Amino acid sequence: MHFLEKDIIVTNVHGLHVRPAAEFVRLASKYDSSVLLVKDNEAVDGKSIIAILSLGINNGTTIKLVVEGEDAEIAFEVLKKFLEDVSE
Amino acid sequence: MFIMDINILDYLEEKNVILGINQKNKKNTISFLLDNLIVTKKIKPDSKKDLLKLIMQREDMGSTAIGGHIALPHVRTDQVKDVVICFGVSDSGIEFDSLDQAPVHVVVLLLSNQKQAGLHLKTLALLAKLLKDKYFIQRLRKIEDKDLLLKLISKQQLAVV
Repeated sequence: MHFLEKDIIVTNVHGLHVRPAAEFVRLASKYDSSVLLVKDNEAVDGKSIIAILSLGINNGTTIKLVVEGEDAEIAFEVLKKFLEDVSE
Repeated sequence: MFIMDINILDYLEEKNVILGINQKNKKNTISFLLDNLIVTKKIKPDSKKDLLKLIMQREDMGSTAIGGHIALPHVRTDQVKDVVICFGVSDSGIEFDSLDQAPVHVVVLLLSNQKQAGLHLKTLALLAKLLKDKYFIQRLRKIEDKDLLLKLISKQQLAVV
């Protein structure tokens, strides 16, 4: 079992609103690993749009990405890249 | 905390709660909710056409029916000065192009001023916090009293923020 976590600053000008949250979930759901997003000590399922939306992640927010599972390395890289470079 | 400084009931009045929605599809439902905002003087009648077009364009980019039987159609626009919400409930369910293909039972139309991006996201986040509880959604579906719905939302808000 592989486990990776890192603090990431979300840089999307509009924050992680519905569309980027949906795209994040689409990407996260490709992997078997579990994905958590943590903000202010609140952890939510990174494969649920409504859960991500409920964190209210705006531009410049620091969140922790936590990925655990057999394919954690590749999932972590893909999701980290997405969060650091949400272009919408 | 980020979203504790807003109260959804500051923006949601009983007259903008609609129970027993009979519309079956997304466009008709959004049109119906906009009509409620016109009748209650939250938006101007002549803004409806543009707002409906904007909201549907937003929906075409990705459905706001994000699963769990809820939809949060939203747009930022100069047609409103502050956050405006219309809260609709349908026990029979609305075909809303949901990401999980499930019918929508709770649809919340959110309009914010163009310049209120922060408040817009906060309000969306608070709505998501309130509505991600599937038991709460089941409860809302069966409600026949608008005042009770507002009381339940108030209670849910205290529980989740």
